[in-house]
Amino acid sequence: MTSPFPPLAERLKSKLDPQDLDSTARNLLADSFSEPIVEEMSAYATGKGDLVAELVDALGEAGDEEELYRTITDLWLELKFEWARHNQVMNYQLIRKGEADPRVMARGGVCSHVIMALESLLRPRDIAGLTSLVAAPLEHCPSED
Amino acid sequence: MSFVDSSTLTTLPALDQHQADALDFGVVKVDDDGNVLLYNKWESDMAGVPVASAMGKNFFTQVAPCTNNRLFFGRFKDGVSAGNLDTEFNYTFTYKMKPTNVVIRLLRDGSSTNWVFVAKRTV
Repeated sequence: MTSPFPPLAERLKSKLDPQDLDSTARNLLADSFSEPIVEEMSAYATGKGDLVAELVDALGEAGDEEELYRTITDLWLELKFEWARHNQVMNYQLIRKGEADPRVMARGGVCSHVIMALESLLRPRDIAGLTSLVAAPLEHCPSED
Repeated sequence: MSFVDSSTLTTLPALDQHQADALDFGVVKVDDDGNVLLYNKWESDMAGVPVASAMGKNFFTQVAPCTNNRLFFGRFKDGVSAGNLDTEFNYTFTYKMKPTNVVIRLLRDGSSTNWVFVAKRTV
């Protein structure tokens, strides 16, 4: 049966399939984190896949690949900022308390792998530009009121 | 005692890619802005970043975004600015890799060359 979704939508569904993300999370964490944390992160990863499926269902059939591409970049930014927050929390916990919360570490690792999956759909120059934005978002704001 | 042994420290200004690749910890040479001048195999393997991809890029904002904060990049900038960069601290890397506990040494050697050393830390 021919898919109703155009190529980009199909690729997005394929790259961020919830079951694949679940496997990725388990493989990433199984030998270093407790089973409750692995299960929690499995649900977290699957949730990201469900989020993408929702996005594809909403936009995928519309046939507007430019709009879908732009929305994928929005999602990349959302996840990258989320990862950056986890990175800050875990490393400030480490410095201030001597250890980082393993849940935060695990979530950061899994989040970054979801980002990696999305990057396979983006143009390298766009990744470079978005990375620059995330690295210093305040530099993109007016310097004076 | 630092994981960066004294024999490595004495060879630092002239350390080349081949010599750096023989070490069993991460070695990154950066300019005062953080742009990568040398990136060794150990670091490449740990981070999953090909050496060629890292060269010339900013270590803190492009190669290793985990390090883009005051704890890490901030310490680097402060040390370079003061001309006395030499600090060691624990850190955690999670970007596109298994969450990994590491120890970091930031050093500016006698020839004003900046180094980032990385070793895995057992918890």
